[in-house]
Amino acid sequence: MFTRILTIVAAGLLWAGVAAAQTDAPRGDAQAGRQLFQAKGCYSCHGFVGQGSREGPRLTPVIAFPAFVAQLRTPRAIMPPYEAALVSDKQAADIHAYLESLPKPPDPKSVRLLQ
Amino acid sequence: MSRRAGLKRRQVLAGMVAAAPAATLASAGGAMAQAAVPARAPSVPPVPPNENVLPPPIRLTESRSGSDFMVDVIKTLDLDYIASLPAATFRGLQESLLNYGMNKSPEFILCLHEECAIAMAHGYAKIARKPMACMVHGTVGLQHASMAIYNAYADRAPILVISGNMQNTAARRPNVEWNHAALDQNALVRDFTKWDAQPTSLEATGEALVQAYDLATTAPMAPVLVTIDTDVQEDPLEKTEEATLRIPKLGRRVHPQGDDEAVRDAAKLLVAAENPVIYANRYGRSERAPQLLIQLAELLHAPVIDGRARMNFPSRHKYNHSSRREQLLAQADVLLALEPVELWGLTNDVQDLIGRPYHKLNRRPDLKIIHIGTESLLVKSNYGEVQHYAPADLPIAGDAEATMPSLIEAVRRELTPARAAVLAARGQKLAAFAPRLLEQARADAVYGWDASPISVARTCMELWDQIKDEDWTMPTETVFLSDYPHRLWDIDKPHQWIGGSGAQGVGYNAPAALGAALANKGTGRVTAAIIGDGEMMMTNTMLWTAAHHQIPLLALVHNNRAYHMEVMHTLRMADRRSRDTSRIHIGTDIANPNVDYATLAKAMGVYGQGPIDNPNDLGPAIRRAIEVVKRGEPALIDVVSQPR
Ligand SMILES: Cc1ncc(C[n+]2csc(CCOP(=O)(O)OP(=O)(O)O)c2C)c(N)n1
Ligand SMILES: [Mg+2]
Repeated sequence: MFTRILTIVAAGLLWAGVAAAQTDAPRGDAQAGRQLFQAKGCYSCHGFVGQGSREGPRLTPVIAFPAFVAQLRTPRAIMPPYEAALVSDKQAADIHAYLESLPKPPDPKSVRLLQ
Repeated sequence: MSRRAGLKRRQVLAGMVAAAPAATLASAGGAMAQAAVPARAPSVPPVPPNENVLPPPIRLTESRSGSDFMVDVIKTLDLDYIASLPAATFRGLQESLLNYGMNKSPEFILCLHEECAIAMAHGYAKIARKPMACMVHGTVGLQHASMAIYNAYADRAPILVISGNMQNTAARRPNVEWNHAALDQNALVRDFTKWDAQPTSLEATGEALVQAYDLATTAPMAPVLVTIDTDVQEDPLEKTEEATLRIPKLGRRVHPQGDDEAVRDAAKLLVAAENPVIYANRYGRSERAPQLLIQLAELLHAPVIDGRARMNFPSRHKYNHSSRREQLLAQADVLLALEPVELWGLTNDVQDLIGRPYHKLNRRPDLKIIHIGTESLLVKSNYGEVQHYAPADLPIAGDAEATMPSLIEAVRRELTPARAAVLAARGQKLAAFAPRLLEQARADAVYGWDASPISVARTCMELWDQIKDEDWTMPTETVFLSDYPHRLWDIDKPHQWIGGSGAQGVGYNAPAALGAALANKGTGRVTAAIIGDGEMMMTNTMLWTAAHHQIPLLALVHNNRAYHMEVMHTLRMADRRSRDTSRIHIGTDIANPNVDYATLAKAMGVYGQGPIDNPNDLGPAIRRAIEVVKRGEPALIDVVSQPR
């Protein structure tokens, strides 16, 4: 799974460069995004807090917004597509804001059960 | 039908003649019977109503019966248990097992659904390394059992299934006995049993039972079915007849082994390979399997990818690189596939996109595939468990585990000291990489660590924390747990992991876990299962069986309050079509009301806790449950969980 995550992260960095020129990304509302993350089904593969699973990679730390929207609209791998009719740009920004708002996980070395 | 059919027929006729006048008078009150009353009633003395209504049988009792002999046969077969839901088509055998066999070897295990009985036997076989028997009712019981038989067949697990049938139509009692009889009831499961028989005499029944056991327990192993005639079970067994009955002697189990010359060629390919990869799936058949594979991997210094249909290879061995599967396969020049079950998918894919596009996986053009396995030794046409046709460069038909010693020997012979040194250098690189795989798994697990619903990684590690210092078995599937037990736990003993259902028929996990716990009973081993809520609801009556027979199973319910797999499938369809994603929960969620699994457990006499949705409460709950299990009783914990 982690090779897939690495691919997504790398792709994110690439797109982030392209996106630097775009400044018209809508402002996201993390609270609304939290609900949309469930309602649109994102949680079903990525987990309620974007932690990732066998079905879909971890989403935090979240990639830059333009790359995020690109992945939604024309996904790589087998993620199903989310057209604007299903998730608008504003809603995508809300979901993005939700993922940005999630706290950093503890250091695995500090978790007794993970030693 | 039976040897005594002629005698029996004479008895019935004699009885009818003697009783005919009385029967006619006694039933004269009924409208139907009135029409049959002869115009002139015979001059016999009147009899009081309700007496002598039936023809008096010549014989009312018997001292020994056909089913006693069947018990004699069954007792030669090394069967500790027989799981069953009682029914009239085998009432003769049931009574013989209890009173003649004294409920020992085999002991009766009462299940409340035939699917539970078979799935229990399925899980049991993979720990006990021998089959259990199951007894299911003619037609209807076999119908209930059929999905579980399919799972066990697809998983190549041995089970001796016994069913009953009243074959002699003339002697069938009207109504129910007809409904529960068939001309060829075994046809129902013939496509997914290794062998079946419907013997019509006692002697043939004895032979069929031994033959069935023999076939079931010789690789490729699989369920077998013997339908025993109801009449043959119930007929009296005369001393003279008994003296003529033989019980075939079961010989030693010997499993088919790969061709010597082909094995030598395989060794040559493997030793010469630059990047050999070993893929093991349904490889581990016995206790010695992991040790043999360790020997081979360490001789070749080759990485192992575990398909996990059995306990094949220690999860933390320096050469277990299962989570680098795609990377390794992309670089491989020789692939050794051991009982792969599904070989085609190692080099090909059909993507889950519109039009289902074929996708050739990124593999070296010079990749050579060696296939050692029994797949081609048990092939039937109808059901898809046969999988895609995937020709290997070197296909070796034979049981992979049985072939392993000669393969190891052949590799040893091929290895020169110089070549061994080159391979050892490769091994050092692999070994250096291995700790990163565990680190990566831990880094993944920490995300969502404190979330509620509880993350599957957290659940797995809370459980691991409390079983790791015990002797333990994890008997349930881990794919829906994002493979965390395999990625994070130290799984190194043959009995710690038993693979999955075989055909993904939901309903396997809970009773199979109970079967594993039954095999572990009395060993002090903790059998700790994590079972989906959908799985649990399909076969939850196994809880009562666990309590009734005091089988110590620890069951955690991975309660994501859904058939989550189907949530994802329906979502994929809605996404493709840009349609409402909120409606996908209709018909897929198991919520509103939420099932209270702790109460369900308690209702069946099982210690139950939950629902637990705070991850900090989980550890203490598991501790309490393990105390119960160590007392020899089952326990359940309802864990409100993340989907995957
Ligand atoms: C007998 C049967 N019916 C339906 C299915 C389709 N199916 C596959 S997985 C699954 C969900 C099982 O629910 P659960 O055990 O709760 O697992 P979850 O996906 O929710 O984690 C279903 C219904 C099946 N495989 N077998
Ligand atoms: Mg579920």
